[in-house]
Amino acid sequence: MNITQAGVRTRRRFMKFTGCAAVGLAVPVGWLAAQIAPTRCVEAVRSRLYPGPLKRLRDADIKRPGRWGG
Amino acid sequence: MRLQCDLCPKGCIIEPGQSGECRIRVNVDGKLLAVTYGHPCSVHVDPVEKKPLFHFLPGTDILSIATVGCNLHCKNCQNWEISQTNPEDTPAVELAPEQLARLAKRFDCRSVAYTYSEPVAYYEYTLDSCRRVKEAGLRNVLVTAGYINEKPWRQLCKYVDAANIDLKALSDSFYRDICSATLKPVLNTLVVSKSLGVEVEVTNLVIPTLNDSDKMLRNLTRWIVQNLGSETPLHFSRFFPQFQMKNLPPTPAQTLDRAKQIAKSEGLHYVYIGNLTRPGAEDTFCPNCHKRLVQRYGYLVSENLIESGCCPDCKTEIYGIWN
Ligand SMILES: [Zn+2]
Repeated sequence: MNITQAGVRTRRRFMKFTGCAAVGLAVPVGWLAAQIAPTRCVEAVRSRLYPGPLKRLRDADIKRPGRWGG
Repeated sequence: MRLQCDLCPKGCIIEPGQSGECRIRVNVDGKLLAVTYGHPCSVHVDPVEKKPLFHFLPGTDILSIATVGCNLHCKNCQNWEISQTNPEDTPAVELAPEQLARLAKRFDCRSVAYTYSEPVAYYEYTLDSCRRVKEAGLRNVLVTAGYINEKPWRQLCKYVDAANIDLKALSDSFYRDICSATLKPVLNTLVVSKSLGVEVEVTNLVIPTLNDSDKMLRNLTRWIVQNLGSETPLHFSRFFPQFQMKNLPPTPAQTLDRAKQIAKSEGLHYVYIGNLTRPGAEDTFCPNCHKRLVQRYGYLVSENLIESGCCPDCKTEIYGIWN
């Protein structure tokens, strides 16, 4: 075995080690990211319950133009 | 479990038990809940001119609804008492989407408006109601700031006939500083709406010193001409000091006249001045022969000469929904 062959073997061993280390790190990091990342949604569930007070829908109120702009 | 709401560009990340910035989309046990669904705080019959919509069934009444909540927080909000409040503090009525069309018909309204606060924030109620109203043969109108992601907006536009969309300034820093929003999504909403056949009218609230320079007004109107078309109606609206912006005076009438002049010189056909009652400022003229076609005073339409969507004299087609 000459010096060049030893160099190649050391380099291969190093590449293998770093490759394994990268995979070994990526898997738990990916898992952790998935745990932390929020669930994404566009449409919400239609709630049947209103969290505030309720009032009666009265014709007299409807007939009056809204006091709000728009 | 944390949620991210992808309805609007804010993309709020919502912890359990908390709501998004709009106050009405809540994370309940890992599910996003629309808590004002079917519970408007305001239900009124308005003249359609109040929206303002001037090219949509002039002189008709429109059933107008809103729930509390808004995804923007404009310092000058006119309706802050319902837009910037929690549902817990605001009384609401029960009104399911399937009841809306019936109610509109009972009050002789040919259309329903989702307005006052922000129909984008109460998206699911707006969407389901629009479907039902359309099925009943009535029309739907949105009055909105247009701050929504494209996909849900496209879904909603399938059922929308007309929209008045605010363009608050053609300036991202204005949107960030005054409204806690950004400009680009609003421009996208405007372009997408127009491309999907929605009758689009634009409102620009002119605020002294903030967006009233010649340059800002010219940029805004030029953008509308180039991206939406010269037929797009533009409403310059007068600002009044309120909410968190009481330090500025009301917009002088001359400023609004100047804005109108700039918009006309950029090629816009239909430019109106709102929140300021003065004869002629709200009339519609034929862009070809300049005949006065619709005469308005305040919210009243005293004359409408448009025939089958055209000028009766020169037969030029007038942009809008007239029948
Ligand atoms: Zn004409």
